[in-house]
Amino acid sequence: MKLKLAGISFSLMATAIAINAADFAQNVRVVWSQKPQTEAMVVWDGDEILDGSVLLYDTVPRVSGHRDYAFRASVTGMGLYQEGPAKKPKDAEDDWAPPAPSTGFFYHHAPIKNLTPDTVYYLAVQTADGIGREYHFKSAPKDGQTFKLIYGGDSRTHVDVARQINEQISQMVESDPSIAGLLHGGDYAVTTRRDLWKQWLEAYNLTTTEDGKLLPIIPVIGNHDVPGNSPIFRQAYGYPGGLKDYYSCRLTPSIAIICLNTEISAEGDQRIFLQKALTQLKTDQVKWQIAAFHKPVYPGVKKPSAGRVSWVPLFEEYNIDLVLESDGHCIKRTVPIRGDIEADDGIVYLGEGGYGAPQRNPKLDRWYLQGDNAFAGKGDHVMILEFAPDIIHYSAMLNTGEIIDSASFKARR
Amino acid sequence: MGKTQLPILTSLPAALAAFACTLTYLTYAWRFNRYSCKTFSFLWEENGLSEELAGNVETTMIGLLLISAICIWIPKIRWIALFGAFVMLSEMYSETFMTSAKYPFLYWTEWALRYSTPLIAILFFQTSEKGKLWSACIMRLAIAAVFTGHGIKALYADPRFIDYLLVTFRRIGMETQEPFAVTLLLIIGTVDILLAALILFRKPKRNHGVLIWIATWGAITALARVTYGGTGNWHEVLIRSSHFLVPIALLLTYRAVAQSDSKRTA
Repeated sequence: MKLKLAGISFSLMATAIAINAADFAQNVRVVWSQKPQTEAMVVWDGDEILDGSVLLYDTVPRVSGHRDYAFRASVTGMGLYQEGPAKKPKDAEDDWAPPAPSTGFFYHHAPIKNLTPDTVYYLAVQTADGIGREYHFKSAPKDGQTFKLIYGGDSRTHVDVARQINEQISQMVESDPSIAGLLHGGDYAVTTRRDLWKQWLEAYNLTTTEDGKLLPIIPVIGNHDVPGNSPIFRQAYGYPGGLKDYYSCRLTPSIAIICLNTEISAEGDQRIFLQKALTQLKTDQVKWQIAAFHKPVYPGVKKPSAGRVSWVPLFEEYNIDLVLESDGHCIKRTVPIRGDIEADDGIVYLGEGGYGAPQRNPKLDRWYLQGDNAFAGKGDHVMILEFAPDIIHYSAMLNTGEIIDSASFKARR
Repeated sequence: MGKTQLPILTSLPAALAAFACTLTYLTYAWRFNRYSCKTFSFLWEENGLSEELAGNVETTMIGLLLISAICIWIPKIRWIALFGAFVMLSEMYSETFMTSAKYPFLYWTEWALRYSTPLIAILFFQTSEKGKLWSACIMRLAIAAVFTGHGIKALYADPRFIDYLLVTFRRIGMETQEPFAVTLLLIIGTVDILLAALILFRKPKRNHGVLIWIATWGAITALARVTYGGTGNWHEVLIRSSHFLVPIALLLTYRAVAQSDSKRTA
């Protein structure tokens, strides 16, 4: 009997030690890019390279016992986050020097394929020290299923606000199983410094529920994510758009989000990509066609970005449904716009980023922000898009939980 | 300018520089009011100043630009136009030290004419030869800086430059691809830097052709903002008016000097 008890204690201790050791895998996250119904990129961080680590996953939980996961995915990329040049913080002493580049923070990418839509996957990172904490996520919904997507941009500057919003999101995810993922409109951290990205990734980790449910992220690149030609955005999200940072995300067969990059030429290869992507969506008769990018083409505060010339004519030609933008640090919903005037069949431009960046007053004298069909304001916020079969319900939610704006968009197709 | 003495010009060049100053600063004032300015973002976003206070700074900057645009024409208070230059310098400082700055320090060369034009005009309006000599010197330096800055940006294949080229070609019915635009920018950048070197190191009397080229190119690249973005982009052209008006002013100065020299020789 004594021997048996000692055996049980030993195995419990060994498991605890193994889990602790294996939890060197930090900020485990799921990234959706091209085909979220069947593919995902699982990324985790570490204070050191977790050599020989592997992703284990299954459709049933393996939290106890032998933890025999049915599937395993190899790490296809890992390394030190490469950061951009350091800038002196405003509250730094006169003798401030850039932090030593040796500050260790490493990424690990494990792509998983052949997933079944709308299926819960349980996953854990196995390192040389054992198998870590079990998380779970749901692959993108089945076609025709009603679900919600959270949209937020500009989580930079006030990481405390980003943390608070992420905790709020975590509670929402816990209570509302229809929340499928989060689309981030870019500007994750103020600069491409490793320490600042670490803060953001740790903040995003707060969206994970207590029982380990991960909220998949669809990342868009912003202007603060590129200085110094740093690849940190790609490393943090497993190269969602390759080396160009733009891609078409077919969330379900009926819903596509084209994620564009406002930090490179809008007219060149990217416009060709956009035209091809929109043609494909037309051929496939995709019901909901959405574009998302960082710098707005119908801005609430600043100048219009290059997409106004290169992309808007295509959006209108192909009759897309909605555009999501960030960068302005306010809350905005334009009137429906077509041919640079308000039109009943026009496209609505939503967003402007309030996921942690300081908020400013939008310029209310802009024609597209006026009238009953538009909204402009400010406040830390995220937006919620509920995709029903024939309608999108949108609402802008402040970090206090108050819904400050809402609207519905009927299907065009 | 060598040993040549500048004649007392009744100053079409000075008027051109002043006109460029007025156009640039009036347009910037309009733009700051319409789209806000970098100094606002720098103070508010990056240095934690309240939105109201940063807004007040922006309003003051707009006021200074408007005053500068007018004062450059009033002899006794012409120096007030230097406040406009100060506003431009503040914008560049902010642009350089913004965390998202893409080309820190390149802005200082790129914008050289925008902040030096009031000084050029003020010195040129002076009756002394020395003032005009200084003015011509600053013009040379500023033009060379602008062409160097834009040249380097072209060599970097700046995305906006790629867009200007491709959209302009598309509008005139020529469908071109990004690699073509990048190659073209490589040539344009090299030529820009070459022109900057010529204007800086070659004897002024041999630079007449170069200045005509520079003024024409300055006008073409400014107007490209309209061929790219439509007439709504008029402000992008006017804030670059010094890119073609100041080279013309310098050319007229050199011509006047050449005429004066030949009269003396005769």
